Amino acid sequence: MLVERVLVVLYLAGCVGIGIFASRKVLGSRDEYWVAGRRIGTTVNAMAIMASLASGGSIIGVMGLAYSQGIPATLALFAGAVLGFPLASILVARQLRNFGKYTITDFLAFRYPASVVRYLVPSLIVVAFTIYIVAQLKAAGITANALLGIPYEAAIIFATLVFIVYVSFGGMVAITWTDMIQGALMLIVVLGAGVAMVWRVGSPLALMRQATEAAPELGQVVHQPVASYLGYFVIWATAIPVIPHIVMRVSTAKDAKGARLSLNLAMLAYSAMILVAVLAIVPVGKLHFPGLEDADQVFLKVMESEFPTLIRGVAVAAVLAAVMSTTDALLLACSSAIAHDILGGLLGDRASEKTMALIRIGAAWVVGLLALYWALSPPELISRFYTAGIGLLSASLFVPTIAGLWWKRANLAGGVASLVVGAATYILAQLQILDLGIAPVVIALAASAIAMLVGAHFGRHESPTMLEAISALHD
Amino acid sequence: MKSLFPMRRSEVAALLFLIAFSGFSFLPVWRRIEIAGIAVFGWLMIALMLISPVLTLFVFLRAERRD
Repeated sequence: MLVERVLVVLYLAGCVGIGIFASRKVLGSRDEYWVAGRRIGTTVNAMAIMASLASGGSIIGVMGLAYSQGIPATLALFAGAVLGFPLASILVARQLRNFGKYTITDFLAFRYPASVVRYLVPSLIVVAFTIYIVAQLKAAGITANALLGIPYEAAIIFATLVFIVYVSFGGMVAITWTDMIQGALMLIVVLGAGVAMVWRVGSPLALMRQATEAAPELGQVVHQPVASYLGYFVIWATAIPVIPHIVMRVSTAKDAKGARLSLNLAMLAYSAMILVAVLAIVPVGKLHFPGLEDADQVFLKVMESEFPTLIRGVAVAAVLAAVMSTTDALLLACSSAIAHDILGGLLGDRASEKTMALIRIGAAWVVGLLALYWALSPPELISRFYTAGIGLLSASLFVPTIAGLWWKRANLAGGVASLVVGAATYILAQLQILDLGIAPVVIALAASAIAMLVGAHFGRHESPTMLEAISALHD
Repeated sequence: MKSLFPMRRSEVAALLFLIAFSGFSFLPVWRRIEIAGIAVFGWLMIALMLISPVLTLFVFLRAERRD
């Protein structure tokens, strides 16, 4: 394990180095800290978007899931995100980039100027993302323990301190560069391994045929009803256009065209990575390692049996990169919800730039240490909770955002109602107080849309000034 | 449709196609039929993951060229 450990330590040291280097430029400016001065190029942004979305679950988890639940069900879970990208590219990217602020809260609080929007939206983000960060830290701890032999607690303490240092001091500039490196690493490792697997057999279809003959369940839809996949699919399809760490990336682009193109390219890369992982690496795992007790080991088993030590070390770094690239983006988005959306809203222009810089750093440390404390003894079902957390954001933010950008009759009453009703319905459905036999996110999105219609019908019409401002975002 | 801000026809068509394709893919019948060892539902998901990025990129680039 020495090679793997050395590579990982070098990699983490590099991340800290980038954070410290970036801090000299970003700490004195909100624009630099939250959106990297809005000058990130299309390719770099695309890779960073892909890396922010592709968590540890997208490498280890997707292959483990395909191994145990079959290819169709696994692709159904991940295809939702792939559908979410066109929604984001067509429905929100141009308008939010033209809006020229930092966060989804900025837009919603402008479109629906009410205190409940200004403070409820970041509160929902903090709750959902803290759960998400804990789940990612748990994945990092388990991965480091399994791959490097480092004790779980030591691994997550060390990893969390690395995240916090480079996110809190380097802001969006640091996480863009680290995410780009992490995204490239993931893509090279997964695509490279997949191509090597297919090359040996001759074609992807031949590989698939061999695997499904040996293990027919790989190609079948087993275990769960389609409704459960549908819920997950809808959550990710509707989350991508409004999820804060993706929206912040849209704002880092040089212009609206760059924002849209980077989302499109990120979608291509993400889709290719998931398809290659599931269709080329998992079949080899199923053929060579049937009956694995821990299905999540399939990727590492394949890497171990098919590649030399150095490549295995790079693969371990790629898995940790996947975990880190999502966690750092979540940490920045979560600290922006506290420092920019909530405290920035309360303090207004009264706080100096130096005070705001301290608040930004402090927010990242508070969120990071809180998540670390929770991750040291995490609940068993944390992985399910984080999907529920993302579902809460989709259910509450999707309708008011899309209607606010596209529907001229969307107004303050409709916006507030759809936000509150979407969140409340989702929570009631998740707790099974409201049980209609449909996925909670589907019920909540429908309730949120109805609330928007009712609010728009009975509330005061939107002012011409607001409609002109929204119209300008479409140019 | 006067109550909506205008959207390019190609983008409306792409969105409607992708949403309809997704709905079609989730029909229960596709779970039982298999082609080359994989349920049709799986093939449809593979197709969605290929078509979605390529179609959106094509629509975007075509619109940019026209502008």
